Amino acid sequence: MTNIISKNRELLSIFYIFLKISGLTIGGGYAMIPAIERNLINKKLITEKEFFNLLSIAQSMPGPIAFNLSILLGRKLRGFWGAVFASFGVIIPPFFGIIIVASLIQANSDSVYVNKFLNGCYIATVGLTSYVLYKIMKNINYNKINIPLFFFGIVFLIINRSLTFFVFVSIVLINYFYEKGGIDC
Amino acid sequence: MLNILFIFLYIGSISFGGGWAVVGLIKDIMISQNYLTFTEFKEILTAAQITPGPIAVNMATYIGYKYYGFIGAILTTFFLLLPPIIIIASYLMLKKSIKLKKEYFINSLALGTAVLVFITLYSLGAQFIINFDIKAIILVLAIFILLVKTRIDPIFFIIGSGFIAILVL
Repeated sequence: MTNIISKNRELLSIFYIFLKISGLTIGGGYAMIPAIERNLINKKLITEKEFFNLLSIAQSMPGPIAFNLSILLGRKLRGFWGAVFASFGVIIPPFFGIIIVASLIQANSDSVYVNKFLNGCYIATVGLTSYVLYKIMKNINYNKINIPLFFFGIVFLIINRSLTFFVFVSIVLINYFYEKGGIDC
Repeated sequence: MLNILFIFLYIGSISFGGGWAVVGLIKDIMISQNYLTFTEFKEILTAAQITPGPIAVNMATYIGYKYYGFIGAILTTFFLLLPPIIIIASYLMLKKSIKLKKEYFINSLALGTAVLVFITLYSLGAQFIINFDIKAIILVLAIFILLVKTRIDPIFFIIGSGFIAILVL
């Protein structure tokens, strides 16, 4: 009986750690990663090496990085239910936050000031996107076909957006097999 | 309803690199299929920026909420997150039989993601260049340079830029 109680308590504390991090870090997934890292490593729940290993897996999957990372970390800490509790902790604050803030903005959307403010935020988002692009491109290890593939992808998608998935998968596979030096599974 | 869930399932399966890759895609699909106006998109984008959480998740939640209320919000968020859940689960099950060279694979994903983020940038920002909106272009460049050179939290740029717009634009 005490065993069950302490197990439930551990799950709740995992839930609470992720809930707190997710609720307090504004600015998307990339801002959350250092917060998760410090929290879990300081509490000695996981080693630095394990953390970065899971982070690289989280990055290579589709989906928000912080969400993917919470599933992997939760599972590492307490198995299946750990993953469930950690990922719920991550998803609950943004879920309610967006509904509240968006309804506040919409209730005042006739105001000239709110509209100008929104235009300013939109411009900042464009600046932020160019920064994200810069960071990603800075970290690529370039080879001969990267740049041509990049331009090929851009031109293709500007002409036809409905092929996004196809173009993305082709670029990843072509580059992967080029770097690996052929297909030899 | 099914159409919108299918759209988020699709978006979820290619949202590599933290969501920015698919913001442009969400914008184009939602506006071209008349689910959102451009003004509404701007509202959601701003709300997503000043609330916690990954941007693609914020957008899915909000669009679901707008059309089908609370249940809709749960469903669109769930469908966006379903592909990563399935892929992580199958990765964990098949871990031993997958033989990917991790560093090449991550590098290739980064290249693919760079293309998608560029498209997001094009989709969000091309209008400034087409309309020759000098003030906006200067603001974008200033924010980009400050983000590269300093370690100030992006939230300050977003809110600051909003106030600058009230005063100047």
